[in-house]
Amino acid sequence: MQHLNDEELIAHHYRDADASEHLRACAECRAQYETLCKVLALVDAVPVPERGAAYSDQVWNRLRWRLERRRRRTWQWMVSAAAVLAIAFVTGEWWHARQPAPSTQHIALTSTSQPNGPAATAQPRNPETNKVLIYVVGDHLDAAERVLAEVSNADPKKGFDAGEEQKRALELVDANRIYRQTAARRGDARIAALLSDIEPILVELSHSGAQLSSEQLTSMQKRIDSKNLLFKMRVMSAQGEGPRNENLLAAQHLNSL
Amino acid sequence: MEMTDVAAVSRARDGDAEAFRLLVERHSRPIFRVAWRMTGNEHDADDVVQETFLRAYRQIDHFEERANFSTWLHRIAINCSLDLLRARGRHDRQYGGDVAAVDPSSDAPEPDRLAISAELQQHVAAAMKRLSDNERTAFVLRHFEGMPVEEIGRTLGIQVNATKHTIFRAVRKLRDALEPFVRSTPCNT
Repeated sequence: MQHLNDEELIAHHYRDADASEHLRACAECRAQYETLCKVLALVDAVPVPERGAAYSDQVWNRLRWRLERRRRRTWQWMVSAAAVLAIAFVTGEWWHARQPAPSTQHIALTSTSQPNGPAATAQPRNPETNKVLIYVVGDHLDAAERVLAEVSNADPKKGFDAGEEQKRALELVDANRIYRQTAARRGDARIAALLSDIEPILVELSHSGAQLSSEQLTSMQKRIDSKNLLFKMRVMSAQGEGPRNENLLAAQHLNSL
Repeated sequence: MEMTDVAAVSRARDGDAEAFRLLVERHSRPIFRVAWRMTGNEHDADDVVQETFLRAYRQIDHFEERANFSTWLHRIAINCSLDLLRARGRHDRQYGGDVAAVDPSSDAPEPDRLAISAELQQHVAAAMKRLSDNERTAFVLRHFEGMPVEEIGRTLGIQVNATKHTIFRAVRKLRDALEPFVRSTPCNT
């Protein structure tokens, strides 16, 4: 009788093949198979360290922190992308401003009602370009709103660990200044005014310690609330996304009153 | 009615953190077991569990709903374990390291736990350590997880016949190393 080889014994053990008939008839193969079973039973007998019922909570708590950190990284990437977009926009504006003005003769030929003087510069020069400004500023305002919302929602009794918001504010200050100057130069007083209101809070936050005292926090919250900054920022962001969002926000605001 | 894994995955894809938490709740302990068997070390196994769920979260859009979530997650856990073992290199701390540190009385006593001494556990750990990464993976998936050979082959990226031979080699090595320690008890054919 030809005996079973190792492969056949192992395949039988894992039910990948059936050698039962041979094993019943062959004592030598049966002994080999019994040794194999005992070895594998020994491997099975090593206890796996137990993890209690709370294990999944521990895993989740560590995981949530890492997922949050990952989301923050994505958010920082978006801020960087917005900053690049802003620089590109401002550069374009600067380049446009440096272009030589059309000759008087050319104006006379192409336009009969161009306004001139200070009154003309107080108005947005081009509605389409102004839409682009609102659109670009919208991303910046979204980011700034999140920072201010964190400050606004913090509990003054517990103090406030502002480490993360401080970093975000620091990243936003320069972009805010560029947008404010651009908006002022383009004559969009509404955007410029809102950015002017935000800027001192971002500057203060970026220079504050990682831990805000109750007094500092209360003072910032009062400034945010007194000027209704969060709502104004949401409205401005929504304008960059179209009229539907504006109406929605207006309805939400009315409901909250 | 309890949410299925597929439904939870679908909601997690839409940003529902609670749905992903449910998947962590359901699968973290089985994943820990496979990770421990792959690494032989509790702390490494904990790290593998974390990394597995993190990768699953990042790749959740790639999960096909007709597939089994548990199998998909196990495959990620195996890859994480292999990455961890490979990252340490062959001469660094590899498989095992704390088998003797397992406290047999840490939880409810089980017959198997009481039946094996710390010394025998170390012999088993040493035998597992001598397996190559592929052999250990194939053995863990076939022996402990009951995964079909074809599925193991897909996980390891090798053909079915090569997978079978890898399992055979692993079992043969374990038998050669542990045969002197087995007791004379019969087994069912």
